[in-house]
Amino acid sequence: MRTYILRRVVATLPVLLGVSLVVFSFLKLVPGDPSHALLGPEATPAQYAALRQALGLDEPIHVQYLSWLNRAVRGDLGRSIETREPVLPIIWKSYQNSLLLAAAAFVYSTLVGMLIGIVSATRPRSAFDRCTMLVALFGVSMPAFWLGIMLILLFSVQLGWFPVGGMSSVRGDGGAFDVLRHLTLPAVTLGTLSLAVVARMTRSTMLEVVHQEYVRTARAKGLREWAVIGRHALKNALLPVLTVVALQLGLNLGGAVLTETVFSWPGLGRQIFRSISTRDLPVLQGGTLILALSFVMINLAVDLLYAVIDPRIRYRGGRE
Amino acid sequence: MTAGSVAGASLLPAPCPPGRPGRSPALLALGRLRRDRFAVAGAALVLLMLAAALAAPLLAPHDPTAINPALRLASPGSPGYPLGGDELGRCVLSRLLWGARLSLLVAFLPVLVSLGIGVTAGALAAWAGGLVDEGVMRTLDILLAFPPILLALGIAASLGPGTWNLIASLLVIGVPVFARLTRAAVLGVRARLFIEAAEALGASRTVILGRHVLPNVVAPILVYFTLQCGRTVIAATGLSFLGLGAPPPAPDWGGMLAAGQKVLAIAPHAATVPGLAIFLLTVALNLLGDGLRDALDPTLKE
Repeated sequence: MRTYILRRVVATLPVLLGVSLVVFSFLKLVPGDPSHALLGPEATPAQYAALRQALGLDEPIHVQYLSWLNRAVRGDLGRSIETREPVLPIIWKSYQNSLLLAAAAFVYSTLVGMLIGIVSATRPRSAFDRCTMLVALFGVSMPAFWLGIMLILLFSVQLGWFPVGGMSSVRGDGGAFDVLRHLTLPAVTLGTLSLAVVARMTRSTMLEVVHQEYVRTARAKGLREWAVIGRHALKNALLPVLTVVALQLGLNLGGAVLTETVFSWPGLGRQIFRSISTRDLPVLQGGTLILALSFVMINLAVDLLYAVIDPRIRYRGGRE
Repeated sequence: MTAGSVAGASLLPAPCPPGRPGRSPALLALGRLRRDRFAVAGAALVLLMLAAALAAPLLAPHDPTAINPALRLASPGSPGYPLGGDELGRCVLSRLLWGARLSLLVAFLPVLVSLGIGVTAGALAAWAGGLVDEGVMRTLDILLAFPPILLALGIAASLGPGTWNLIASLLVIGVPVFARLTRAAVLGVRARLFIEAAEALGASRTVILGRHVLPNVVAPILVYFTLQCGRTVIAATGLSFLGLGAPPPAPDWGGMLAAGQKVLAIAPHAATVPGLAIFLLTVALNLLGDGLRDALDPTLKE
């Protein structure tokens, strides 16, 4: 077990290095002089020259990368062009808001998705099942940003149940209820794709399980239907579903740019969106880097967790 | 029904299309596809949208960038403006039709190019093995370490807004998908007996790869191509929604949606219409992709 964990963690290191290399190279994709991209158009020639000097932009590229990486590892991701503040604190503040949104979407999509999937599987080809599959198709085909706008149109503009957006601070002056009111629509928007994926996966694994002999035995013993499904069938269907579910957390966190933009949710995704229009390259790089690192870390955690739950994985992994 | 079969109808056994000899697998798959109502509907919708995009100059009632202040935020059904006006008083229908050109280009072209790159890389990795394989796979791992869309977003934002920059950035979404798929499929086919037979007959590696291996991986690639187009529609319109698509006066669905959100309370149609177009195109591609998968590989069907 310990060697498996060690092996997986070590295998992640080159990926992290590659990710940092890709994010670093954003600077090289910017047309024109990178010092202009970093300082914005309003600096003086002396400032440009000073930055080129400080960042070693005239050095060979591998030296530039190593010094950028060296600073990044120590938490120095540069300064925002827009506000001149260091990037890391800006990112950290909004990152917490993103985490809250991603977690809410995760809880919603997991609970509702699994519930729908289980009910569908117990009544295959029923009207409910057909509806579920239709919703699942729509869920994977629906652009989240459009779904968000339509939810705003219905629930905020027409019905006035929820605010249009404009959450200012999650640690909220309006209390928990205010946070919940602001959180509901973005969480539903962000979670719908996951919900569709989870519902499909739960339905198909449950369908496989409910036709097995031991489920028939459980029924023959005279157990109630909910006990057969909940205690016997679900337990064995849960493992593949769990992997899919757990991966959604990382996907939600990474996919938040569009949802956060639609609802002006003060998260990292919206911070990245702002950096696009202000050409704020350090924030773009820092935000992308943090989201990618989180994605890799969550997926690593899922892998390790999976190996703890299912010993077959670590044997297969260990034999390589 | 031909005349002959009508004449001898009572005597001849009913024709059984699927098992009839002399039909190629491709024709059989096409037959299965045509019996799948959802797939046919999907294909029809995709073709309809392609046709509308091509015929935009003929179909559009107005110049998509012409501003008519009298029709600012006009609701659908206004005379001459069936889908109303947008925030500047431009014809929404005309912008939708012209926008279909840009949005379809941005949805299909990156997938087509990434298919080329991905299939080449995947086949090469599987066929060469060793260091080449290792190098390709580790590069893909890095591309896949970014949450979907995020890497494309970072690249597009660095390059700056514009249709071609957007297309280039979207390549990173498709390449890993096709490369992994091709690699797995080639490895699977290569282990089969008929490849060994071809080798025994003295066929060169290139001939085996081109004539025997690749034709056998066409089916899964075709399925993924369709499904990937659906994903790319969402990614591409999403990025142009964020302001990374064609610069403002040009009509494109993501940009129309972003502009429409600003006037949502007064003129809901400005955001509803382009979003519905994106949604329908994606649904159509997903239906067609699912249908293709069922038709090309009947064993996969539940």
